[in-house]
Order: sequence, then C-alpha cells, then structure tokens
Amino acid sequence: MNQLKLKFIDEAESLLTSLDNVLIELEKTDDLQNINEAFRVMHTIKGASGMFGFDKIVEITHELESIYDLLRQKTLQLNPSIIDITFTAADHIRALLIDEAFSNENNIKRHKLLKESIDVVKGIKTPESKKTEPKTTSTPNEIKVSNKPTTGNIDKKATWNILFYPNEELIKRCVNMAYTFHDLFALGEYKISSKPFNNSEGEFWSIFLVTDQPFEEIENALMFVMDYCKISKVADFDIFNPTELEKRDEQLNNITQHIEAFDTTDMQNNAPNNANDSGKELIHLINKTNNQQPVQMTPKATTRINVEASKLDTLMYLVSELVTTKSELLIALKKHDEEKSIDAAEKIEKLSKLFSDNALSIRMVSLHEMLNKFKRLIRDLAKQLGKQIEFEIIGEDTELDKNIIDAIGEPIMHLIRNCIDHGIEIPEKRIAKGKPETGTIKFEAQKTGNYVYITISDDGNGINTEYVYNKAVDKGFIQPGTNLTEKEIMDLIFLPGFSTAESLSNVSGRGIGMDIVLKRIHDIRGEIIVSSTKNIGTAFTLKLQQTVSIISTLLVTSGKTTYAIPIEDIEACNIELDENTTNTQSKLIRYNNELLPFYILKGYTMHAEDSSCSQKLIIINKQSKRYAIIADTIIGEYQAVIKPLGKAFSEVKHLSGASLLGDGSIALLLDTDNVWFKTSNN
Amino acid sequence: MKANTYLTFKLGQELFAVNVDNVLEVLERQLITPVPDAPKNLLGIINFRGEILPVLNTHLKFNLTVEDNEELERLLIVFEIGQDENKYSVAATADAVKDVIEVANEQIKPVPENGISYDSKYLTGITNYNNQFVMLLNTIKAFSF
Repeated sequence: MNQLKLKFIDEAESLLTSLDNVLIELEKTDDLQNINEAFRVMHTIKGASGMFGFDKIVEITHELESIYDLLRQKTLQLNPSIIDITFTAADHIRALLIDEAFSNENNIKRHKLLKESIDVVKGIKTPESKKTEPKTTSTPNEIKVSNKPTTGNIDKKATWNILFYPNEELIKRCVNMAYTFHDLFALGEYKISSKPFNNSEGEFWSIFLVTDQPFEEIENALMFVMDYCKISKVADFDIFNPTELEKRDEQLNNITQHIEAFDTTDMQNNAPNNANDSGKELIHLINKTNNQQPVQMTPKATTRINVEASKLDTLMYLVSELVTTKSELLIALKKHDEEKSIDAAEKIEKLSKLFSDNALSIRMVSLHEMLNKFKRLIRDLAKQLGKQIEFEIIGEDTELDKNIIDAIGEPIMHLIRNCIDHGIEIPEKRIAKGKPETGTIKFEAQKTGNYVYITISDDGNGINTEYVYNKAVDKGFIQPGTNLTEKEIMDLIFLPGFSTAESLSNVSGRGIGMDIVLKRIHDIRGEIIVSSTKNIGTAFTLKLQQTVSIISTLLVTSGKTTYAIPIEDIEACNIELDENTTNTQSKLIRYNNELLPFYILKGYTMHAEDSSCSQKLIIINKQSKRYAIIADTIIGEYQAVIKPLGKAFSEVKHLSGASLLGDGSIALLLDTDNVWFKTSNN
Repeated sequence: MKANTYLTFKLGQELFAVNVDNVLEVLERQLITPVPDAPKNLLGIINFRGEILPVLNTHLKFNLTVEDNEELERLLIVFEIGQDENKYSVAATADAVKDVIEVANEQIKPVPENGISYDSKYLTGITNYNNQFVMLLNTIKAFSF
C-alpha cells in the first residue's frame, strides 16, 4: 500500500503545481473557469488525502473548497487576500505531505493561522469569536466531508456502500488514484474511511455514498476500477444524521444573507473592510510563520518520467528482435556456421544502436514541468520586491535529456532571480525611463542540430559595465587600466567571488553565484553567452547538448594511454608532425600558415620514449580558442558512454570523464576547455 | 561484549585490518589504467562492474617503503565507504589478503603516539592476533580524498 501512497503524494504535488498556475491566472483575471479549476483541484486532493489518512490536508482543502464554492456561486467576490491564502495553503499542503504525522511545530502553527484566515475570508466570523466555532463531528476513523450543498429532494436519496480493493495490478495499470473517485464524489455526499481496512482479501477502503443518482451513474463513475469494487445499496434514505446537514444548510444561508446584508446596508464600506483587514493581518502572520521555516520550493529532481506509449512499443519490438537474434547466433555458433554467426553478430550490432537511440528518446523530457515551477517562483519574487513582471515562454515543448533538465533547473532559477532582482526596475523607475510599467522576462528554448539553445532575457537595467569593471578592480581581479572589451567585462561576472549586488538581498545575493551557474552548465558540457545593453536589458543564452551520456569522440593514443576527444571540438586531424610544422623557439605549431599553441598528450609508457614513430596533430576549435594536440596514433571514431572519474580526480582538470572500450580497457575523455590552459603558451 | 569482523591484509611487513562491512571485493591482476597528472598516491583507474573506480597506492599513502615497485603482483581490495548520497567506492593496493577475524572492542589498544614509522593518523587502534600485531584502519580517513 506504501506504493499507492507514494503515487498519491506524487500526484498531489503535480496537482498543487497546476493550482499555482491557475492562481497566477486568477490573479490577472477573475475567470469562472479558473475558479472551477481551483475548486476541482481542492476537491481531488481532499478526496485522495482522506484515503491516505492525511486528515489535516482534508481539513484545509475542505475549508478552501467552501471558499471557492462561494466564489463559484458569486456570493463571494474574488480578492487578492483569497489568492494569497490559497497560495499559502498550497505550500502548507506541500509541507503536510512530508510531515504526515503533523509533528512539525511550524506546520501546526501555520495550520491554525490558515484556518482562522479562511474563516475571516468566508466572513462567517471574526477571529475573536472563534470559540463559538461549531466543530464538525468526526469519529476517529472517519472524516465527514460533504460535497455539494444539498439542493432539495432528500426523499429520493439512497445510501450506497462501495468497497474498494486496490492491488499491485492496479498500480501497474497506472490508474490515477486522485481522479478515480473524483467522478464518484461528484455524485453526492460521501464518507470514506481514512485508513484502509484489512480482511482475508487484502486491504480495502470503505466508501459510503449518499446520492439521488441511479446505480448506473455510480457504475459509470467507477468505470475504470469497477473490477476492484464491490457495491451494495445500504438504504433508501440518507443514513447520515440529516440534522447535521440541515445545520450546514442553515449556515450557508446565513453566510449568504450576511453578505447580502452588507451589500444593502449603509455599513457597506465599513464592515467588509474590517474583515478584510484582519484577514490581511492574519496573512502577515502566516507569512511570518512561512519565513521562519519556509516551505521548500527548490525544484526537485523528478524521479518519474512520462513516456509516450509508442516509444515503449519500439522497445518491446527491439527486445523480441534481440532475443530471436541471440538464438540465431547461438545455433550458428553450435553448428560452426561462420557466415550465419557473422550475420547474427551484425544484426546485434544494428539492434544495439537502435536500443541506445530508443533509450535516449525515452529519457527526453520537455521543459514544461520545470517551467511550471518557475511561474510560481517569479510571481512570489515579483510580489516580494514590489515589481510587476510578465513571464513569457516560447518553445516549452523542447525536449532535453532528463539528466540535463535536472541539472539546469537550479542555474536557470538563479538567472531568473538575477533578472528579477537586478534586471527589472521597480514600476516608478520604469515609467520614468519611458518603459511599460510591467517588465518582461522571456524564456526561449529552441533546438538547432544537436544543441538546444535556452535564452533567458529581461527588458530591465542591463549590466552596468562600468560598475562591473570598477568592482573587478576593487576586488583585485584585474589591474586598473586594463583594456577590456564590453564582452570581456561582462564575462567578469562569472568569476568566483564576484557579486555585484550592493547589499546581500535575500533574493539572489545568497548561496550560489554566477560562477556556480557557469560551473553547473560546464559540468553538462554546455556554454553560457551573456549579452546586455544598458537600459534595454540582459540576455543569457545557454547552449546545451540534448544528451550527456553518450558523445561522439575521436580515440587517439599516447604511449599506452588512450584518450577520447569530443568530435564536435575537432577542426582537423591526422596531420603529420614534422620539422616544417614545429617551431621550437616560439613554442608554437605551424598549421595552414597559422601559428597555434599546442599540448602534448601525456602517455604512460613502460619503456623509454619511442620517438621513431611519427606523431599526429589534432586541431581543436572550442569557443574560438584554437590549439593543437599532439598524439602518437589516431584510432578512429567512437561512440563513448561517459562515466565520471569521481572526486578523487577533481584536481585533474584536463580530463572530464572516462569511457569503457570494447576490450575492457578505459579511454580518458579530454576536457577541451581546460586543456587550453595547459598549452604551450599558457 | 561487542565484537566486529575484520579482514586482515599485508602491506609490506605490516598486517592491517579493515571492517568487513566496508569491503566489496578482492581483485587479482586487474588492468589498471594510469591517469597522467593525477595525484601521486593514485595509481590510476579500473573498470569495476561497469563503473570507474580510482586505485589508491596504499603503500605511498601510508608512507611504507616498497622494495619492488615495478612488477608488484598487485592485489586490489575494493572498499565501499560512506552512507547514502556520500557513498563511494575505491580500490586500494595490498600485498596479500590474510584472514577474516573477530576482534572484541576491549581487545583494541590505542596507537602509540610516537615511534611509528608510518602515518598513524589513519589507525583506530592496534590489536594482537596470533602473536602478531594488527593495525586497525579507519576506512573513512584512510581511503578518502
């Protein structure tokens, strides 16, 4: 059952992310469809959390649901404090998903405050009169949740009992637990056991449903899980305390009348404002609790991938092909049939290429999910800093290897933080500069060849090159009076320990700096290009490989050591090294009427250097740095599966990994960026 | 009485012991790929079950003199150190693997502060086994980088 629960937590988290986005939309326009969507999310989370014993989440979602129900019925007007409360509640639910035992003090505090502020928003009562709050009766093992306000015709109601037996098979079928019962709960009122019961047939949940709908409707709602359910009619009436319901009905009516009364009386401006003010106070309180122990919002590495079914079909097809070919090979070998053996071996070679392509395509993930998390972050930061920001996204369907997506999340978040904190000006300044009040942060992703380019740009201040230059002089990074181009000055911000923020703000001047951003991107063999124009804006462009695990390399040897050089960095190779090309005095190498610095690959040799064989030149061109590598022999192209060398070799900067070769030996992968610093003229 | 199980191995003239919980495998005649410009006490890397592991020159690390460095019939002990996310594996050279022994905690004596010719900071204690002194290694200290 633990697996089902993990699945629920996963689903709840993605539901909350979608809620964040709905709220961001709602903040812009009061749209009924979005209110319905928020209501639906609350409702879905409520139902499923009940099943897994998250009582506190049920409480909160239940309260929120009633707010959105009032909004739906237009008896309550949407206002910013409702959205703020919902945001806080979403974070609170996130915290509760981790803190299942409800033992964290901050969570307990936040829970109480949140409930109070929801009450204020509902306008039922002010916090002072909370003692009279009627408690919803709940027996220890059951939670009372009611869905729709009852609309007449109680006579026709019947009570049904549904026993739900989920099992391993259900998990395999990837049935979405949260949605499974959504349709069922929409039929009427329900009671659900908060913990699964146990009997000889395994674990099961018991659900009581009070509805005026016929049996067919229940059947339809449970269409996908019918096999796991036992349904029986309990009674022809509502067996659950109808007086309780009436009380609630009355309450709802009271609220409506209450609000209507405000609308019609002269106190119109007075009283609701009061309620609003105390609501705001409470939100401040909540924010305070939040600040003490903020709910974790760092983009977490996703552990599950959604895969297109067709890719899995291909995989299955490949597996069956492989199995057949393997038998072919075995039979051929037993018969000593050389021709057939070679045929089969060739087929296996082809298949393994298809396998690797297929595996890589399965690992490809779109940027969608990562971006959804950014939307919320930008909204929160903009609000905190008093800035107005529009987040524009282009190309969110672009796919990247999951490893890369996980690796770029934090650096990109940092770049966006920088844009909000240092780039975009506050509205007054923007107006003074003649720019639109709202700043724009643009996220653009596009695939070109084997690369994916991601550009994060803002229309803010731009980088103040003069300021950066002076700062670099102050910090001793450069000598005063050094001649640097605009681009070179901008690159200074990537130096370790360079932080241009005048005061450490708690937005971007904390934790990782631009040097870490650069390092993280380099780690996945990517590049960053920065461009900026004063008062127009700044743009950071990331050039990323679609996948990191397999790269095309050229294998070369030096002594007994085999090296792999990324093919994309090679301009030319297989040039003989002779007296004409070497220029011992200048320590440069002649290549096509040019002089280039060089690096001699170090080889491990058992015996003295064998200088008789002619050495080869490989010309490297990486990010407009050009140099030559001198090796003994060139073996050829190799599709290298890259493995890390580990922290034992962290000091060996000119190597970035290793790859296993067919014969079990190991090739060392050259880091073409860092070899540059080891060339003859450095 | 608390006791732990140790694997003993020879390095030069000395007998060392490590907790067996940290030992993954003992390898013989493994092909070691040297890494140019690597720190001195690393011999190179090996392919261990598809992963790349660093090979530590234990003799050099513990400051033990080796008479025949060239054609040493090398034996590698693969260690797994640390927990969860910080877990890593490393191979270390040894001259011979001896026994698996049980050592009770009270049988462990402290390391004498001076008079030891090699680096004593990697030791947790000394014990006597079959009239031979055995140095108990602190695996985390001895095999970290």
